[in-house]
Order: sequence, then structure tokens, then C-alpha cells
Amino acid sequence: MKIRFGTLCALALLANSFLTPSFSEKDRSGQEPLLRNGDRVAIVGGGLIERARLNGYLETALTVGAGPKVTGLKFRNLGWSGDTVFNDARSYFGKPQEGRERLRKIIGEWKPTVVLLNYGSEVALSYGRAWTDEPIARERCSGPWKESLGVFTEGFQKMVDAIRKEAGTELRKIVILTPPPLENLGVPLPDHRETNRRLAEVCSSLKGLAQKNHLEFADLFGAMKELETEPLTHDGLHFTDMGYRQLAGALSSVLGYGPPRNNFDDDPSVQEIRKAVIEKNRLFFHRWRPANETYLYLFRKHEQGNNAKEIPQFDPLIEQSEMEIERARSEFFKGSQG
Amino acid sequence: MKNKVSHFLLVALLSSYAHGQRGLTKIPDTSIQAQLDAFVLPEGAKINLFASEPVVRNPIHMNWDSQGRLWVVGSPLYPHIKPGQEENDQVVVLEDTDGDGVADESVVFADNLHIPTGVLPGDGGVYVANSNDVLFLADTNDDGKADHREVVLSGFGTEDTHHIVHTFRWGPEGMMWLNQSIYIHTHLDTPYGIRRLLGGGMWHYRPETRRSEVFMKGLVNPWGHVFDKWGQSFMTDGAGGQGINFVYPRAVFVASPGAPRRVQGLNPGQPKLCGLEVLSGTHIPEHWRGALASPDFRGHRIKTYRLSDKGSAFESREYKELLASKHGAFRPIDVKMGPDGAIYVADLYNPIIQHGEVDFRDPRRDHKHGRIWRISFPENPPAPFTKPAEMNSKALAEALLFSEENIVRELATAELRTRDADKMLSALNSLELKDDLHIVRRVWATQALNRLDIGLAKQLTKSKSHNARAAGLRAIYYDASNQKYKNVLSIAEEAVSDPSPHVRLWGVSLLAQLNDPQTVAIALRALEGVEVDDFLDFAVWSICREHRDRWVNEMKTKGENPFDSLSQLLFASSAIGEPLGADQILDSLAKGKIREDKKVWEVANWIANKGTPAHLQKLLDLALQTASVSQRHAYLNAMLTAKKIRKINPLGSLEAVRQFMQSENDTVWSTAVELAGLWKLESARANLEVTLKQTDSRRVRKYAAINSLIAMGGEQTRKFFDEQIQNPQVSYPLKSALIKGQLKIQPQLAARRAVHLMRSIPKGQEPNALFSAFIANKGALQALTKELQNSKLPEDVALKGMQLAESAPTRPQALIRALQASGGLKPMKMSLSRDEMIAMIDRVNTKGNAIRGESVYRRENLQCVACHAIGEVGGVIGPNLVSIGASAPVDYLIESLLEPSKKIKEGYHTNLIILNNGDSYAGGILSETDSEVVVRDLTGKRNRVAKRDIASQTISPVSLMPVGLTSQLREDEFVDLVRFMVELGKEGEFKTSSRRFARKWEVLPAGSPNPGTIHHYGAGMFTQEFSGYEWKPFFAMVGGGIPVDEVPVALKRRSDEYQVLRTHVEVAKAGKHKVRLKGDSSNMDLFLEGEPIEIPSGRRETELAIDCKKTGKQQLMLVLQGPQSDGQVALEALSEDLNMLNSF
Repeated sequence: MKIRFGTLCALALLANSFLTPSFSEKDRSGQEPLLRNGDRVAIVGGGLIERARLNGYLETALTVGAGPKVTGLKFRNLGWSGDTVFNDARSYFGKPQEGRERLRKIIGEWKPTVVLLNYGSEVALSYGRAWTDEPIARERCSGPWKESLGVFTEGFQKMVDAIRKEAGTELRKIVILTPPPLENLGVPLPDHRETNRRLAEVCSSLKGLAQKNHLEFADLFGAMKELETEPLTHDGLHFTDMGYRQLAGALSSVLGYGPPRNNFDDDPSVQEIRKAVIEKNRLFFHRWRPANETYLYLFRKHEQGNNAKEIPQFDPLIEQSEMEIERARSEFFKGSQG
Repeated sequence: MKNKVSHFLLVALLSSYAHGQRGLTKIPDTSIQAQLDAFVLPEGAKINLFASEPVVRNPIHMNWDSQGRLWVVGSPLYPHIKPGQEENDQVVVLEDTDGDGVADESVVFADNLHIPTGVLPGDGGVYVANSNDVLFLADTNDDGKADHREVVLSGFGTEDTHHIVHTFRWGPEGMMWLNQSIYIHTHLDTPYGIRRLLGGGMWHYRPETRRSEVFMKGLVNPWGHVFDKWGQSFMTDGAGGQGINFVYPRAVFVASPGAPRRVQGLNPGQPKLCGLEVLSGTHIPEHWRGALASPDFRGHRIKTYRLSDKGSAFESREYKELLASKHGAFRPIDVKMGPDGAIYVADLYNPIIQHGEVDFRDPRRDHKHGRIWRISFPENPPAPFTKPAEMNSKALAEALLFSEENIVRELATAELRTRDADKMLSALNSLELKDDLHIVRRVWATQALNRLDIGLAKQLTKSKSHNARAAGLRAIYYDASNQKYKNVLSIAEEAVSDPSPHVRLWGVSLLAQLNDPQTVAIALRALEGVEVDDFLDFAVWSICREHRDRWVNEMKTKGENPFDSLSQLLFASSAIGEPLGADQILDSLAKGKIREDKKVWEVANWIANKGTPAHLQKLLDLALQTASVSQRHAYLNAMLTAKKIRKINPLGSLEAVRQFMQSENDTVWSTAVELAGLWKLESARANLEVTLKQTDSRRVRKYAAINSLIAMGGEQTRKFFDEQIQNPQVSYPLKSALIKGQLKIQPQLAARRAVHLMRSIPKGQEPNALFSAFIANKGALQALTKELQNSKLPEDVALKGMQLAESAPTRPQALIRALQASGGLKPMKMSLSRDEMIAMIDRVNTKGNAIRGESVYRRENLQCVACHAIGEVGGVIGPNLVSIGASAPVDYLIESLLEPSKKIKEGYHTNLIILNNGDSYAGGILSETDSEVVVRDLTGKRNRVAKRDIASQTISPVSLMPVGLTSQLREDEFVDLVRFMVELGKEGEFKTSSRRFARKWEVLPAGSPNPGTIHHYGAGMFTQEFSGYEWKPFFAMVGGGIPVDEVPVALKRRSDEYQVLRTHVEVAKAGKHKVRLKGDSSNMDLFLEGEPIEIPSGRRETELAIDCKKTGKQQLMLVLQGPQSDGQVALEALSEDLNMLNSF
């Protein structure tokens, strides 16, 4: 087992390079900016999104990227490792439908104005095996690739419909973020060339889906593909800290904000924002996905359900950390303008 | 109104929790000395404190690194983070630098963790379980603290924090092994696609390839996993009760959600065990070596077990206790051999364990203390230890291949992974291998470098030793699915016909990894030519299902049996539950090619579950043809199941079934009659009515006739029933049975008749069955409630109804109110006020007598024994109470007796199923398929329920334990009963010992009929096979003894009284075996398989050599004649090769 500390350090030196990538902004050119004052942004996806909560790069990039005039942005990281467009991973003791309900519930409660959706790599990777347990899709998704892809698009459509329904009239935009390509890191890690070929097909299906539903389409797959740098992932799939920084830049670009205006890591006030984002994410995780749900809300709540009263006590703490993010953000813009 | 009273009491009790209950129970003395004073150790052993708080707090898991340092994770945060609380649980590293057995250096490696439940040093850092994630932490600047943090795996569920990912261990093959438990639902995004594990089970993960796979599924809370010297895996279960579990690929164990079939553990009836280690090395006395040690954390002790080969798996026998303690907060939860050869024990230190039944914030929960204990044997020198981290390549290779200390090889394996692979391979290759074990270890070493020597692994599969052959197959197993190696199929093919069933098991496991179309055909051969046990049977069954498409598609295209024989086709088709090849198989039944009863039942059940109406017709024909009663029953029963579960009938005329109404056999008759009813054969009606009218008809026939007529329905049934119910000549039990039928078709009328009947119940009769029937059906329940609003019931009758209603899973509040009004009852007092609870605890502590309490516990009318086991013997409906006293606070025990529903042990929740016709079934789900659910109810009965009949299925918040069971006790009896429970599992008389007593007996009821006269036959008469003997189960007391006055007097002749008991033993080897018989020998006779055994007279305790001529299950009978001075007798096996059969 070789940990790439050396590589990491080398990457740190390259950090500047990701600030000036040549992303095209064509997808959003001529359009009004994605984010507005007070937007509530939900990011929904699988493990890529879930892990992003731990380093805060994606949210920080958008918080800063939206510019000095856009204040009061709030983000909820609703990523869930191993999730699918049927929301398998979000169910506990039930079928995937229960997972869908969990997503609907949070969307219905929080009423996001912007939703970013990131799914697809799990399908390309799971070719030949069942990737969802959803009864209507289980058989088909383990079949031929076209069939599996079809199941994915259908599921995606249903998820979009469900989100639209729950979010109601305040929902302004749904953005499809395509999955970034998988990296080939060589033996003994898996060869992802075939998977990337399939992933490209996933992305073009997603593009069709976006057009059909009048959704925003943000092509991370294309943007990240153009970057041919040192390894950004541990295993081809999971991003390293450095990888997430690159991804944050790419996200910022494909959403029309270009690369971050300042160096993420060298600027202490950006660091402040990111630190506060991480803390907010930590608190929100305990609020939204608390441990011990079996006792708090599920079939053993008659025994220890009284402890559930503590869970909403995270709300004021989350609010506080959001004020901290806002404070750090205004500090940053004050600094950069002054 | 009255409901509110009890509600108020409940609220009062709950709020007392919030205000703290420090006064309620004694918090044990937290000093180190108090714990030291409380230990009980085996001969020659010494215990010392290795580390404690504040360095180590609430330790959960520990592992050594290749520098001989102990890494420990603990969690004061457990069970749940508070809002505003930091995530500050720690990983600490402990080191004993001067070899005195005490940690003298400690470093906090990381202090920002959230309930870390696993720790495994290796790969230049440490892997840590951190709730949802597995982290890799490393110290890159050599300051002893982690500065690199990386998420390695994410997506583990956290639905219950004592189930989250845990039990990390390096396998000998260099993979990381990790477990999760029952409530956890895990979804991993991996670079090989999504991997999911819902419920308990075990994963393996290879860091180099980042590949994670599920190895086995199930077990409730498996916190123990070890590899034996050949690399086989064994697990323990912290919430199950089957001792050591032998696990293998794709095996599915208890509590795996939705599993249609499960494999059992090796020691049913054992306490819950947390952690597992193989005792090994030169420091410990020889007799301990090779034993498996596992903490019974509830019972404050460490138990051990010995394994031996048996069939495709192993036999595990309880061995001596390694450690026990009288200290109530000693919670051993992990045990590991240390580099010095001593045994290290992680003591969570907590008077309260877990948080399902005890409040998260209970103030008695400890968040401060924690201890690591070290057990050594001062007469023996410490084991030699060189730090593998400091070994050169050659020394490391030698340690890997030749060290006899397990811990050295384990640490060397972790070290090996950090070295240059080529150098290590050449060092390994330079050493001469002397036996199979060395070859196995070299194979593992290459695999730990992720450079498996496939040639050598293949060579292993041809070894002389079956253990080595199995190890070779297992080495190839992991990567076989990647099609990485050539000619694996032929290796697997050879293995499935190996003389050793164990090797066959691995052959089948290997096949399951392969892509070949022939895998199932090959795997089925494993069932031929050896005795097939459940482990091997399961493995073959499993591959038939997993690779279904391969052989089914072949069969469908070719239209013929793809296997060598029909019995293979039957096995495979039954496994997937599809009627493939049913025509061929039914033909061979008709031609008499399948004769064995067991096979016939198997075929019949399979057709019942999956056959078409045409297949059922063939069963009806077969039932008419066969001369065997058992087989006829099998066919009829199959048609009945098909009707009930799948609502289908045989294709042709059904009238033929009436022929069986001439049968002499009650079972055949009853099954035929039930079919006639469901098929609505009016032609049978007259016969049924006659059966009910004739007073001499047997009871079973009458009940069958009632069910049949109800199923048939119609005006005629309604009229006939009501006439019979109103007929004064009809007996109470029959009327009660008729009303139970009537309530399904005319609920309101039935309610009126029932209330009328219950107003004057004859002496010696009970209303319970009638009440239960009404409560179990929604419509009938409403009818009875309505009826009671206008009528009175005698108080005692209403009270019985109340008790049943209070513990009904549907919680029929309206009925409870109606019963209260109708019987003039006060609401049942079910809870104690805080002061009452304090007073009660005080009485239990000062006045309670556990010996008297045990006899209260054993009373038949309390039904404790019928539902709960203590150790190996007793019922299986409720939790095993073997160590309840050691694990649960007194207030919890009192509360559970008074209010069974308040805290329900995991796995004992009642599933409530309500059918479209209003019938309800409550109990545990035993298995589930697409078409049916099998529910085990309170009486232990298995009920098969058709899924299409189900209106709703929920988890009921009501315990299966009836309310008010203890209401019949005097207070002093209640106090004694609680005291007995308090003592269960604690050090002392009420801890189930590892001595091998006969605990499961059968007795003859009082006044049993006899096949002859006693003066003619002597006591040997009872050994005869005689249909008049109705043997009843009887369990020994916790201490192993049989209380003589509880044994019924089977025969009384003048002044002579005979009490007759029998039990069974398993003889492993023929020959003379020693047993110990306690009791006055002059007043007893002992028989082995009907042959008298000579007992010297005048003894109070006798050691006997009994001559067992053959192996296998044999019967021992004890006949008592005259008084016993101790009031007790006992029988104990002393020889290794003789085992008491206490569980079946």
C-alpha cells in the first residue's frame, strides 16, 4: 500500500494551475447568473457529493463564485453514498421507495430554489449487475447496457418530477451535473476505459433529459476530461482533497462563474469560509441523518424516541454556522475589493 | 378515563428517568482495586492493569501494530452525540517499553472522531471506523499524531450506534475484514460498482485494489471474528445466542433481512458474546492453546470453546472460563493476544450497556472510565517477541512462515504489506517449506503482497491434509470472479467430489465465483457420496439460486434435465422454488422410484409451493395410490397448502378426496376434511355433522370438522352451528370451539353466544381460548366489544379477558374498556411510582431469595420456562435470560415483568400481520418468500400466511409477553422471582457453568398408563416403546440439578412411587465413558438404550463408566424410586467424547 504523500505535496505546488483552466462557459453564456440573493441550493447525488461535505470546496467555490452582490446563499449537501436515481441508499429498513420518500421529505421541508443533481457513475460502473433494488427496475438494470441506461434515464426523470412536485413554486432551477470521468491509475486499480465510454453515453442521455425537461445542463464530465493532470482520485472514483479543489473550479466554471477569483488555499478569508462550511455540514449531517434513527424515529421509537427531542436542537447551531459563513464571505469580499 | 390513569403513571415513571435514578441502583465502586478484588481467575493466572482512564476511556476495540504497540479506540460520546458536543472520541496508542506488563507510554493519535468502533494499524497509518466512514489516518511528520486523514470507505449505515461498522482485523491473506450489524444498511460506492449489505454481515477489503466485497450475511451483532490456523473464519454474536459461528462465503445467518434460509451457529443456547480471539503461543499453559476465547460481557466473564472437525464444518464445545468477575461494571468486549504472549482484555467499563432499552442519557451510564487488563501466567516466561517492524526481509519471512505465536504472524503480515514486494518474495522463496501449513502460510504471504502465488495455491488443493486443500481453495476464491486465473473450474470440479465435505464446501464456494455455464451441474455433485450437513447443503442451494439463469435457460432451450439425475433436478428446482422438471419428478414418484418419506415430503411441499393445478391433480392421484400413511398425508397437506397460500385447486374432480374420510388415521382424515371444506364439497357435509354430533368422536376430528364446515359456509353451516351452540347437551369445550368458528361468519351472533357461555363457565374450564379467538379477528373483536357494552361478565372471567387484551399486539383499547365495565374491574396497575420502585428494589436486595425465586420461575402457570431459555434449555419465544441479571439493572427487570412492552429486546419485536378477513397473526417472522410469510407465534407455532391475503404488516409496539403474568403472585414471591433474575449470570450459583449436565429431559406425566405391571417388569418397563407414554419436556435448574418434587409421579403402586426421566446423549466415540450421577443411588435406576447400568448402592454421588457400544444419539433413562436426601438429582458427562444433547 503506497500512500501518495509525495504526490500530494507535488500537487499542492500545482494548485495554482487549477485557477486558470480553460473551461468553456458556453453552456450558460448569455444567460442570467444561476444564483441569486438568499438562494437555497440543494446538492443531491451519491458518494461524490456526500464526501464533498467533509472538505467544503464545492460550496466554498460557489459561495465565492456567485460574487460580492449575492448574499445569504444556503447550501444543503444531500449526497448519499451508494445512491441511485431511485434513491436506494436513502432507505433504511424498506424498499428504495422509502429512500425516495426521505428525499422528498427534505426537499418538501427545505424548499430549495436551486437543485443540483449528480448521478450516473454508479450506473456505468455497475454494468452487468443490479445497481438498484427498485422492484420495477431490478431485473432490467442488470441486463444489457442499453437497457440499464434506459432504466437510469427513467429513474432520473421520476426523481426530477418528484423534486419539482415537492419543492413547489419557489424552485427556480434544476441543474444536471454530469459525473466527472473516472481516472485510470493503472494496475492494481481497475481499468476504467470501458466505464468512461459508458459514462460518456450516460452524459449524452443526461443532456437529452435536460433538454426535454428544460433543465440546466452542466457538463463536469467534459470539463474534467479536458484536465490532464496528476491523479485527482484515490482509486479512479473517489476524489482526493486536491481532486475536490479541481472539481470545485470545474463546477464553478460549468455553472458560469469561471474559475475562483482568488487562490482558495492561500487566502485566509477563503479558508475561513471553507472552515465554516465544513462545520455547518457536520451539524447538518447530525440533524438530517442522525445516528440511531431506529430508536429516534423508526420502529423502536416507543423505547428511546424521547431522545429525538434533542435533534431539532441542532437547528440554531446550523443557523449560527451559516451566519459565520456569511460573515466570512463578506470579510472576503471586503478584503478583495479593498 | 381509566386509560388515562395508567397513562399518567407511565408519564410519571418516564419523567423520573429524566430526573435521574442514582438512588435506584448501586453504582459499582469505580476504583481499580475494587475491580481487581472481584476477578476470578483460572489456576496459575494473574491479572494486572495495563492501562486505564484518563488515557483510555470506554474502550471498544483494539489491535496491535508491528512495533508491538496497542492501538485502542474508545467512545465517551456513545451512544449519541449531543447538540453542541464536539466529535472528540480518540485513538490512543499504548506501549509497554520496559516489558513489565504495564503501558508506560501513551499517545493520543487522533481526538476528532465520532463513535469509533474499529481500529487497525497498518499500511503506514491506521484504519479507523468513524460511524458512516472508514478513515485512514497517518502521521506524516513523525510527531506521533495523525496529520493525514482520508476517507477510505463511506456509506455505512448508522441506524444504531452499537451496530455500526466494527471488528477490524487483518486476514492472513492481507485483506482487511470488517463487520456490521442488524440495523445497518450499507451502500458503498466502489470503483467496481455499488456494493450493498443490508443487515448484519462481514466484508473484506483490499486496500491496494480498493475492492470491497460481502463475505457472509446475517448475525445480529457480530463483534467477534477470528481465523483459525488454516484460515477458516469464525464469528461470535453480541446479540445472538449460538456461541461460535462457522462462516463461509455467501452463508446467511440469523436476522439477515428477507432471507428465505439461514445457517445455524455451532453452540445454540450460549450467552451473547462480544469479541473473539484464538488463545495461542508459548506463554500460556498448553491446555489453553487453540481454544477460542470470547467475552460474555453481560455475565462479566470470558468464555472459551474448543473446535474440532465435523462434516463440512466444525463442532464447537464449551471449555473452561478464562476469567470472571463479580464487579457489575466490568464489561469485557474485546480480547487479544499480546506480543508478550499474555492475554489482553478491553473493558468498556460500564454498569449500563447499550442504549436500546436504557435511555441514551441515563445518568448511570459511564463516560469516564475504561480499562485494559492483562492476563499472564507468571510461572511461564513471556513469549519471545521481536518487533516485525525491525526485522530484515529474511527474519520477517521466517516469522511469517514458522513462528508459532499467532500474534507474531499477524503483525508480520501487516508489516509485510509495507515492504518491497520483490524483495519479500525472494526472501519467502528462499525458505524451505516442511509441511502443508508452511505452504499455506507462504501462499498467504504472497497474497498479502497482492501477488498471489497461484501455482502454489493450486498445488495446495492437492495436499494430503484436507485443511490445506480447503485453504488452497479459499486463497483462489477471492479473485476468482475477476477471471484472473486459468483452469480454476477444473480445480473446483475436483474439489466438489473430494472425500472431505469441508473441501467440497470450498469447492462449491469457489464455483459460485466463476462464470462457467456448468457451475450448478458441477456443484450438485457435492451432495453425492458423503453425508451432507446443513452447511454444505446451504452452499449448493445457494449456488442453484445465484446461478439460476445459467441452468434454467439451458433446461428451457433443450427441454431436458441439465443434470445427471432427477434428484439433482429436484434439489435445484426446489432451491429456486420453481416447478422445473416437476412432470419428470412426479412420474418417478408414481413409478415408485422415489420412496423415502423425507424425499416425498420434499417433492410434495415443492409442488404445493410452486406446482400448477395439473401437478396438484397428480398429487391427488398419488394420494389415492399410495399405501403409506405418511406419504398420503404429505400429498394431502401439499394440496391444502396450495389452496391456502396460493388459492389453487387440482385440475380435475375433487370428489375423490372423500375417500380419505374413511381413514383410520386422524391426521389424514382431518387434512382431507379441511380440504373438503375449502373446496366446498357439499357432499361431505353430512359426514361432518355426524362427526360433531357423536359424543365419542375424537377431539381432533371435531375441530377439523368445525373448520371444514366454516370453510364450506352457507346457511346450512350457520344453522347447524347455532343449534349446536345452544344445545345443552354439547360440552363447554366443543361449544367454545364452535363459537370460534361462528365468529368468522356471524361475528355479532358469536359474540352474544360467547358472552352467554362465559357467564357460566363450568369448573376447571377457561375462557382464554374464546377471548383469544375474538381478539385475533378484527370483526369479531368489534362485535365482542359491542356485545359487552350491554352485558355483565363475572369478575374473574373479565380479568382474564383483560390480561389477554392488554398483551394483544393490536392494543384493543375499546375492548379493554368494555371488559372493565362489564366485569366491574379497576384498571390494572402496571407501573410503580418512583418511590414504590425504590422500595421494591430495596426489598429485592434485602429480602429476595433467589433459590425460592427459581422455583417461582419454574411454576407452570407463570409460563416463564415455556417462552424463555436460560442457557441451553427452555423456550425460544422470548430472549434467553442466561445473563440477564448481570446485564440489566434491577429496575429494568421489575419494569419488564410488570410492563413487558415498555422495553423490547432487539429481535423480539412483534410483527403484526392483519389479513383481509380480519384475522391477525403476531410474532416473529421466520422466513419470507414472494408468496408467503412464516410467522412464529407466542405458542411457538409456525403459521404460514399467504402474502396475497395480507391487508397490513407492521411492527407492533407490544411485547409478545402477556401482561399480568405476575399478578397472581404474592409480593414476597414476586420479590424472590426478581431476585432470582437479578442473580442470573452473575458470579455464583445462578451462572450457567460449563459443566456438562443433562439439562433437557423428558418426564412421564402423573398416573401414566403402562404396558404391563411394574412388579413383573421392574423399572425397565419404562424403557419400552409404548404409545401410552406421553413424554413431556422437563428442564434442569440453572445449577444443573433436577428438583425431585417437581417431577411427576408416573406410577404409584401401594407405597411405591416411580418418577421417570429420560434424556439423550451424543456419543462421539464408542467405548466406556464416564458420567457423574448425583443423588441417593439406592433409590434410583439408570438405563442406557434400555439396558440397566449397575450403580453401587448407598452413595450420594457416583462416578460411573457407561459402555457405549455405538456412536450417535443414545437414550439415558433415570427412574427414581423413593426419597432423595438433597431433594435433587443430576447427571453430568465427564468424558470428552460424550455430549449431553440439550438442544436439538
